[in-house]
Amino acid sequence: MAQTIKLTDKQAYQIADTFAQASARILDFRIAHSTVLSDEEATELEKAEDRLDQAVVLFRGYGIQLQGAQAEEAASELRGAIDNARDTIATIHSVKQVISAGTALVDLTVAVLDRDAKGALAASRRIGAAIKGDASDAA
Amino acid sequence: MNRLSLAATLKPALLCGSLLLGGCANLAAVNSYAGDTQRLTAAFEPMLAGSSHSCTAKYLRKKAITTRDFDAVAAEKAAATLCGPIAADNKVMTELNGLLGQYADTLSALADEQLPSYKDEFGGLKDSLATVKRKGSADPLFDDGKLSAITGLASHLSRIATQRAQKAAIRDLLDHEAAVLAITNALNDYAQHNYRGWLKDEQRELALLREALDNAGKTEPLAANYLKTQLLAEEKQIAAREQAVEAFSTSIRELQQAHALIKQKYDQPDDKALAAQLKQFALAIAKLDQQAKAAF
Repeated sequence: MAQTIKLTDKQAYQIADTFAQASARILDFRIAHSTVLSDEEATELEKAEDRLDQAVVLFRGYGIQLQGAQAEEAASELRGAIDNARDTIATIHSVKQVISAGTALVDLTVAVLDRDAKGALAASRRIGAAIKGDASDAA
Repeated sequence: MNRLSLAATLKPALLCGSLLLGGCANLAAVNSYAGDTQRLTAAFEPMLAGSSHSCTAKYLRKKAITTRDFDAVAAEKAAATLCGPIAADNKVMTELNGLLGQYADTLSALADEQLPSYKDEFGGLKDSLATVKRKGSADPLFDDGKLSAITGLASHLSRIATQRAQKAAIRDLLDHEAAVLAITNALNDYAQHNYRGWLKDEQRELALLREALDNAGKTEPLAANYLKTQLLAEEKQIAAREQAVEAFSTSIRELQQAHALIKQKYDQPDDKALAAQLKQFALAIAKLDQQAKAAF
């Protein structure tokens, strides 16, 4: 029964480098013997380089997948920490909204007591805007 | 205690509300660390597209100089097939880099000194309360002193409550040092082993292609000289990119050391070792920015 070989990301990158070196060696041979190689031979050598170049892409991609799998736990931990921190920022902003809404509420009370219909309407709009968190309307 | 002395007593606490919470937070240090981390993530991005570009450029260069009966259109198509999967593979790294960027953005937003400041909000409330009149009279219900005391105290209490949350959230983010270390190591490994691998492949082949051009120069000197000039320019560009990778790795090391120190000394506003490390980190990032501009 065949055994699965588990590579590390660095081993995958090393294998890719080895394929790249092998491809360069064939290229070196092809260049050095360009005057004596037949068209067919040159084409065959080029094909071999292409196959090795494909293996380079494959193993460098595999290296990335292995790196990603290793970093997944850390990434998930950091995502959670960022979400918590963003909740705190939202809470602090909501305190500001409550104060803005409170300010507009005082204005509404004053406008109602003064029988100022326009002022009351503007203040009630600002209460709505403050609750929604629209600072430009609430100001 | 009269109203003025109440305000004077509150003032130092307002400047550093966290005195009640066990020391001041070094927000300037957190901001500096977060800002430089954001710049580091920006400098990493061109390396991702750089891998695909390097693969394509290497393939086309080799084919143009060494293939008998070279067909430019067919070569371009073959390069796209060969190098196309790199962009999809790189998505993992794009996500990790993006996550580090979000981490830095969130730290920066939390370290904003204006975040738990209610100057505008309480300014508005004070103005509104000033318009409230005594019942049956045109006199204001609150005089200036009362207004200042009420809004000052309310602002102080809000600030204490939210500064505690702000400080705790920054502390919590900084405590995830191992995760930051793992992600920055992954980015560094990509730069050193993947992207640099592509650059090395290009360098290796450039030396061989120069040899091919030397051979071709005997029969086609003009074309060979023209291509040699192009290869020289490309070689310089690749060398600049290698230096950018080195500058990136140096910046990663400085970031990791800065993180370890800021985590320990976050409550010490005047710590000299932390200030020196943040300066080192900032210098490394400035060099990285400069190198990245020359390279990409």
